[in-house]
Amino acid sequence: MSATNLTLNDHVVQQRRTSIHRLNADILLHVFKICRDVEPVDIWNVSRVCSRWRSLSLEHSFLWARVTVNRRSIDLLGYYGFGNWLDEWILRTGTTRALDIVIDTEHIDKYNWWDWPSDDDLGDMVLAFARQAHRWRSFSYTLDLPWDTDFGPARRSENHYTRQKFVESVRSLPLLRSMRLMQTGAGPSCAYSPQTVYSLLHHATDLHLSSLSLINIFVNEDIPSGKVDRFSYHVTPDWSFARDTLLSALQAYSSMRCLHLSGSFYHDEDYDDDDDESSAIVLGSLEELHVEPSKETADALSSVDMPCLAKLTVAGRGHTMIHDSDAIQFLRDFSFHPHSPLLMTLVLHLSALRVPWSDIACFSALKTLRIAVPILHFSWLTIPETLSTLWTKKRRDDGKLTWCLPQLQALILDVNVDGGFNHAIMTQWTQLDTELKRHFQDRWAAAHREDENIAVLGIDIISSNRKIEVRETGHRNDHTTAIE
Amino acid sequence: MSITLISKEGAQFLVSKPVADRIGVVRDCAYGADFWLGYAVATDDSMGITLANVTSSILSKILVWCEHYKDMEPLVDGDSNMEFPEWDMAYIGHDMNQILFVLEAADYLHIPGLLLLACKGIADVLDGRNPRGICDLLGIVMDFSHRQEVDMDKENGYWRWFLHPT
Repeated sequence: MSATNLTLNDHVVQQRRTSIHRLNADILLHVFKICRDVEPVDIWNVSRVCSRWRSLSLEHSFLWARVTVNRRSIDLLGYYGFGNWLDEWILRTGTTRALDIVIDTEHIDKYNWWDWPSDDDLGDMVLAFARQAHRWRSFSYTLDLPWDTDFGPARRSENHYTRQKFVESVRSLPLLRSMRLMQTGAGPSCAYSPQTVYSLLHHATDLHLSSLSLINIFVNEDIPSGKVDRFSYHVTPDWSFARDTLLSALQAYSSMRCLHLSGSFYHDEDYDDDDDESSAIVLGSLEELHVEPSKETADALSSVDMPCLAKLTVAGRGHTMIHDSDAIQFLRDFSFHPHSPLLMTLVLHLSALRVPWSDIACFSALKTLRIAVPILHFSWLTIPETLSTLWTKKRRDDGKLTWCLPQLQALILDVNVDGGFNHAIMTQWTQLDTELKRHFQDRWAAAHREDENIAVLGIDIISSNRKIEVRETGHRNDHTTAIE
Repeated sequence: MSITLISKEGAQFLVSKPVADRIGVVRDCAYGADFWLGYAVATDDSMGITLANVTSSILSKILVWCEHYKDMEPLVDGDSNMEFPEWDMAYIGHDMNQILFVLEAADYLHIPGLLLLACKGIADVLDGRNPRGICDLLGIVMDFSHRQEVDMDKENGYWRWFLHPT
């Protein structure tokens, strides 16, 4: 008895001494929310720590509203009985809360092919989510299956039944604003593939998507496009779509404001270029274009009119570096576009050190230029051929001396320094600032003369933990910031 | 204008107005905005403000953050998908005890941006840990009721249900 008391007392003392117990419920909930946002299935872990955490997490349905089926949730909750925990998870979201759904079969290859995923599994899962379709706020479905996946003989009658159930459920999607569908490998051969889900959307009567991302999906023009603001269309290297497929997709979502485009689009010999011109696509609201450069993409975009385009980003997926020759060729092709001189912001991710100034100079109205480039040393920034195009006047074909990119107000260099910062680089950091100021003195002075129509240029150099702002001397204090 | 902050141990920290402005409690005290909360109202610039719940070491760490953000706005938005700057993540670090002290102090001193950053720091340290690991790290005892244990057994035994539904 006394031993029990001692244990309980110890427990109480321990609880009082632990600062986590002094945190109020609001702060704990905020921590839980961030845990949930980093990895949705972690809310299950949170609910199994202690009675207080369990009560708090189960009382707040918003913590459960990101329902995710992926490798990590299967690792934690198990493959067997997966339908049970999925039902329990959905139950914990309540009945009215908007849901963010993620299905992602990538990286599940550790499971035996006879275990997961079967056609029935996918059908049950898709149907379980479809029953809550009226609560979907976002829906992301990635089906990546190995090529040797064998679904076995399809049970057509059951598939048909499930399909009907699905169609009935997705007729009303009043809350859905964001959708991402991706299929690769053997994914499309599944009866409940992302392509199937996309195709069935034409039954929806109140679709109000603002963001749509399609990867290896054929666009069906029957599907209500609504006012999709952000559209992303990607084809992975192991797939290839015809150019007219891309153009159909752009036509279907022509009211978009922002477009991300990448992939392989081959030119269909049967496609008549004359028809192409007569049915030129106009993206009248497009302001931002993010593109992974290739000749095929440049060709396809040559028949697309973008009168309001203000920002162009040329980079790989996820802002990765690209082959410079592709980027340069793309810029060169794009500069012939009728509205390219109106472009105001250009973002360029390069893999090598040579900046294609002659191609960039074609975009004469640029106000902001951002270049991401890996460098070995900061001294590269003061080598004449790097930035001299901007700090020296050049003679044009008509013999007149002019500044390159006269409207440029912000040059941002994202530099990735090999080996990080060391003492030698620290020493050169200050010298770099002084050197650049010396070089740009003439341009800054010209910006204050009435006969020269150029803007004052500010330069930001950003590395992983340093930022230097080079500004016109005497007009604004320049400074550097750092993590010490 | 500068303000003197006095820690729990009595150590004095002289801070400039932009730095002090980041601390809600100090802002209210210095400008007499919050009489009803019971804080002393400073009428003299030289007057010190005692922060009785904050130790010197934590106060000095908090002032580093306030100094960094004296001229710019920190993230205070409720969307936890946002990316914190690298400086913030390096500042908060991975020492759970230190983060908890900063969190408590940020709550007491009314510094929403730092509170959010500390919550993010805790979530990052917890990421990838199982319940037992979280308990060990934070010194929490698993004190579930019988009912809660039965419920969790069900959750953990879903695979057994699948094989033997009866």
